[in-house]
Amino acid sequence: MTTQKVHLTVNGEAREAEVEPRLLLVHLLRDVFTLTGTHIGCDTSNCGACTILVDGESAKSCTMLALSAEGREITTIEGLADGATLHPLQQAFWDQHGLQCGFCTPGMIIQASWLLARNPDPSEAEIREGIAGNLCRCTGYVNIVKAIQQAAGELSAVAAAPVVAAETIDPGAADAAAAG
Amino acid sequence: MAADALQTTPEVGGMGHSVKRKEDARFIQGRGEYIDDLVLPGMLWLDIVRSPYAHARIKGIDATEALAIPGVLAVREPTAYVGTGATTGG
Repeated sequence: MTTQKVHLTVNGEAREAEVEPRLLLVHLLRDVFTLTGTHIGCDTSNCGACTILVDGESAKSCTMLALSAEGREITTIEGLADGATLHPLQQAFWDQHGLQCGFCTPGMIIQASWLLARNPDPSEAEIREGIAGNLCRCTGYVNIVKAIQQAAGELSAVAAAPVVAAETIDPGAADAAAAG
Repeated sequence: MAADALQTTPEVGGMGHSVKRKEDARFIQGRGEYIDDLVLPGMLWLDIVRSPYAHARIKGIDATEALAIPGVLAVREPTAYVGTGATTGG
């Protein structure tokens, strides 16, 4: 079967692969690069479990061909944390109980990161509209919205004072941060 | 007794404090390991081919082309399950 070479950057690392033209980007990430944090929920771009960033734009990787990613920069859930320090959105989803089974979580967090990059201080309505393409079937959206609000607050605080926020492991401190 | 004396401090946790889930660390970092994420030695993949017609009778199945594709090990037809108790849906 005819294959073609694709070159792309995944989570800051230059990667290449020999792929069939029909291969979907989500399968390149999951099956070839074994980055299984990006999930396949519906295969029809309804559910958002496969959401990734392509050159900073959110995209549903189940509806994009691997070859379409030639030369692009891809960010997946595995590339969000800064070493051992969780991204404020990851921390916030943990703090605010923004997940149960966790299947929608990678796509939800990536989509939220795209939203906050464009709108650092979104209203609740803007958050709900921003994640309208990502379905959660167990936690519900209330805690997900709270998590995104917490992360928005932390990210703007970091932007105001260039001090790296340490990972919060004390639930009490997390509650205080959420209240504040 | 003061009301706040009935609540434990945040350091102690317990009553009045939310509990942080231990399993979330892997889920928020994409390390959940769902069934679809597993690759086992010798693992095979299965694909179910359904009729593209809503109302039709299957007169025969020719799997020659499918079996010619490199990597295809077997094609199991409904007749293979007759008498096994498996429902083939006619």
